[in-house]
Amino acid sequence: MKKTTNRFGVRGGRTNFVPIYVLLGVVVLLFAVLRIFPIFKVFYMSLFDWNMAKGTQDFIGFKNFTDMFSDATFTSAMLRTIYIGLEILIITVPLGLFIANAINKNFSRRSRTLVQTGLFIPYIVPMVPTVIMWKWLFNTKYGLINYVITLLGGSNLSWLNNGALAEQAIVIITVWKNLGYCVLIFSVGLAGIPRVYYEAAELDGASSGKTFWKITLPQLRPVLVYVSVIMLIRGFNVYTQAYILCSDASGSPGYVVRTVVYDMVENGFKFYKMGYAAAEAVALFVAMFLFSIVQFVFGDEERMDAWRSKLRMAKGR
Amino acid sequence: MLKQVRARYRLTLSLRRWTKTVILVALVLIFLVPFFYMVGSAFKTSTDINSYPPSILPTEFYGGNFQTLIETAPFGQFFLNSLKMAVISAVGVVITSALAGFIFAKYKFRANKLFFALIFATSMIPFEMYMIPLYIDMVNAGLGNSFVGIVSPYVIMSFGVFFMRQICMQQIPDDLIDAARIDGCSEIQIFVRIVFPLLKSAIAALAILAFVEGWNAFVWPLIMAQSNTLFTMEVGLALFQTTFNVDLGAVAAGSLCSIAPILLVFLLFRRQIMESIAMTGMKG
Amino acid sequence: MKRLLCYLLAAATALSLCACANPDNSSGGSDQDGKVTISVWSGYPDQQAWFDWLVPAFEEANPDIHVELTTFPISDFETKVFAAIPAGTCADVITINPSYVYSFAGANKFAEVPDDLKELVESGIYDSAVVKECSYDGEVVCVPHMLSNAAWFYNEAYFEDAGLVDENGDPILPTNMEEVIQTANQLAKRDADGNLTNSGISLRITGAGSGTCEKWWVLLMQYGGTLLDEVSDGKYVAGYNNQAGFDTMRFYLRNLYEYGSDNFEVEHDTAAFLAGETAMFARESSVIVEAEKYPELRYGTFPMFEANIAITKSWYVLDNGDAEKEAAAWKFIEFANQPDSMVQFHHLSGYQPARKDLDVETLVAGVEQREAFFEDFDTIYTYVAIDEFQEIMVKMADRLMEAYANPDLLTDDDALWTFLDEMAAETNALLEDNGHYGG
Repeated sequence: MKKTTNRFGVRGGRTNFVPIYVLLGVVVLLFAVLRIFPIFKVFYMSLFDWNMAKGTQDFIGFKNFTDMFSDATFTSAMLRTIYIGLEILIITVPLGLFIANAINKNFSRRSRTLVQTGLFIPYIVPMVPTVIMWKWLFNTKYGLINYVITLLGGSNLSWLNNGALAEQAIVIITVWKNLGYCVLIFSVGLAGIPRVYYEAAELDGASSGKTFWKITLPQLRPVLVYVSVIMLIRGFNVYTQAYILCSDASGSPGYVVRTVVYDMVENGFKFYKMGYAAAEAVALFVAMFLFSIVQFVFGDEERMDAWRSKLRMAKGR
Repeated sequence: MLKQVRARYRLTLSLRRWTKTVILVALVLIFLVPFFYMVGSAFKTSTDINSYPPSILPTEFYGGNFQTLIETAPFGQFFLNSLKMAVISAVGVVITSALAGFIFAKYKFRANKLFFALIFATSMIPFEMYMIPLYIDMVNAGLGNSFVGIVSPYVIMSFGVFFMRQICMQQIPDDLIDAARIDGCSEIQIFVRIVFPLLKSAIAALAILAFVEGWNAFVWPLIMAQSNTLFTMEVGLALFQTTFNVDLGAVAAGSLCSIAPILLVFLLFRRQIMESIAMTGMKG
Repeated sequence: MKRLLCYLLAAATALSLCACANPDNSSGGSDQDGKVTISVWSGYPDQQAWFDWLVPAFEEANPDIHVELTTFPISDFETKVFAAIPAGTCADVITINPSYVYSFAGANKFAEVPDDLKELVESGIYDSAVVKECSYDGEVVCVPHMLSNAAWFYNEAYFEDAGLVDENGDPILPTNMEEVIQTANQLAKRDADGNLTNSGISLRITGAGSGTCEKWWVLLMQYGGTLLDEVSDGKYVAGYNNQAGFDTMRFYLRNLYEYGSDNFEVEHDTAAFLAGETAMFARESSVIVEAEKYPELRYGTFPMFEANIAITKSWYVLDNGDAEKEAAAWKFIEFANQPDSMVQFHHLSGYQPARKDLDVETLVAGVEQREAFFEDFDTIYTYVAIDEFQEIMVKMADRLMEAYANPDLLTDDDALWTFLDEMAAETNALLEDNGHYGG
């Protein structure tokens, strides 16, 4: 039967898309009310000198943004956030993929369960107790980590006070927490790859490496994009880790762990500068959006193929 | 002779497998050391926690932290609240995300990319930022200090929609949908009868993740709750942070009580997740 | 095997449920048969013991009023109040630091204080600085409840070990800041290589938000300075880029780098002191309640030298439009503020009552470490009631912590003055932005 499809995807007048679009509408409405409208308010707020306490709102256009970018506190927080975010991304995604792939084939059910469950446990533990506990582990004098380091012959590291080390501490905590998540999602993706492909590859005598690069990875593309983008967003949104690490008297100094969200919450809720905080949220959003677009583009199979062939043609092959 | 060779081959194979397993188990256990430390701390006195050199196991078993939990606040109520949040969240997120994700993945309409981008973009704004406007909207709608108000932001998850979209793109072939259409299924029937069952693995995973999010909700219940009858577990645990320091033992004990049910749910759902989808003869 | 595990976990869950379930110990009901119900919010879990005494005592004395008190976690209490007041969902009564809700007072969110309570507040039983903090536009808007001030804590064993005792075996305590430096040096314990193992003084050189600035401020007062000088009504300038500020910075730097009585590696603050890791530190009186858990610790206190801080928390009644509830709320506050209640408060929570007319002996009740906190000073400083005060303190704290980590400032006078000037410039800029600059 010849099918005609108009630009709305409606074919030949036989199928009725209305009910399902209505359902979509319900979902979109929920998002609109619970997320989009409040977020638009935030974007709107960023153009004002908005003092929640006094209830005053003075329109100041882009002044919040100009103030923000000329403030060293913010720019260093932004750089630190991007650095931490990228580092988290680069560690968790490949590692998660490697582990998920490794346990997918070569291990018995029981050990697979053990690994998945074991890795997932850190994700379940709420963030606040996690960081509190890690803070204790990172303790210069009494922490387990420094203890192990001294056993191995090194000297105590000042995890919470040293800027570079504190950032690594945040990365370590976030990676520990999220690795299980990545492994879980990749496992779902791997489970969706039809067995026939692997069987065919085996018949052809392909090595496991080749199978991975030529079959697994391309099949996993959409999931890979998902995990990368999610981990990037998580990495950029680091807040609780920084906040708890520097809370109370023996914590890190504020300037050492200042991420954008930390700065934002401080400005909005401690200094009452909601407009400025909203501007920071907008800046962070833009940064994340740009990075994720890059990832989406790389994940778009057709586009990448098109580029690759263009490149090949350019090279004159 | 051949039998011997085969037997030896099987032995070396299983030996290799066995060593791999042992190494793997060891790595996982090392990875979990911080968690074991937390478990141990739940049963330590505070002097024990502060002792040097630090150890994972308590020097003597101390049940007092759990008693502190009971005495400080009605953690049983917090537990129930967290449970309700988590279950409702899981159900809501799965339904909305699967539906939206599927439609975004498989249907062509002009607003597709736009709506998806909007929904996706909401995940990039930290919740702390838009919770005040949301709170005011909720209060104006009369939902302040109500369980409905507390749980509503958690029945949708933009990560969930994103995830389901990617899964549908990867795992649901267009041909299957077309075939169903030819057979006369309505769109909704296609979703419910055909697509939904195929997504079992992803749905199980999403259910768990939403469950965890709902369970660990902190800031929103704190803002919304007028009295501690609506506190969740994590809000309750925050009560142990005083001006001086944190009662690590109590926090660890509370966290353990928090983790047990989630772990249970995870183990129950895990098999669903790991089941391979056998699709024969679909893609040439 | 897996089934067994699942059953085990199910059992654990059920057990947790049972173990944690207990009769709802926070009153949860709405208006019961003719009673007026008022809701009270506190953000201070360490005052729970007092509230557990206070609420039943009050309800017994006032059978027609029911109090629903909820304690929130300390970390986000201000955020919650901040969200609740504009939305109109705040409790009838809250206890909070005036500087956090100062702007709300200006926006008339709070009920007017009844005349008799106003008279009480202005009757001279509170420090004038505290009364000022609790006023907006000359009117008293809240009732001061408690204050946090500072005194020195010392570990007796360290003095004995260092031989710093007189003929009676009593420790020879420092009487001024210079002597604190010298004493700290003698009390510090070092290993064979000269590395510090136990600090002679535990300085506040790291940690959250404004606390570092606060502690610096207290020591700055001992040198005669303060954070903000009020040059005219409502106008301020930075009051610390002068010799007092210079000396305070040198106090820290000399302890850290000249004598090495403290450094960044050792444990700090209350946890360290209670564990016997450090010889001296300055903190609030609530440490004494914490110390009850460490009965083997032999410690004493001695007061600050020149001036002291008084970080207040006050009772606020929200203007929720219900006159009956307001009246009940003020009754509650009056009861909580009575001398008997405040004595209980001091004993159960360790914090200082804000009112100064209570019998010191009753308050001290034989625990002599409490005495040092009741020392009277002519000069008392409180948080300044301007919106930007928190921001000023937090920004200063960041700068201070960076400076503490810089040993060059010990000897380089010019660099230190530059540091102070830059910090003051930032403070003044913040004042200017908000129209409070008096320079």
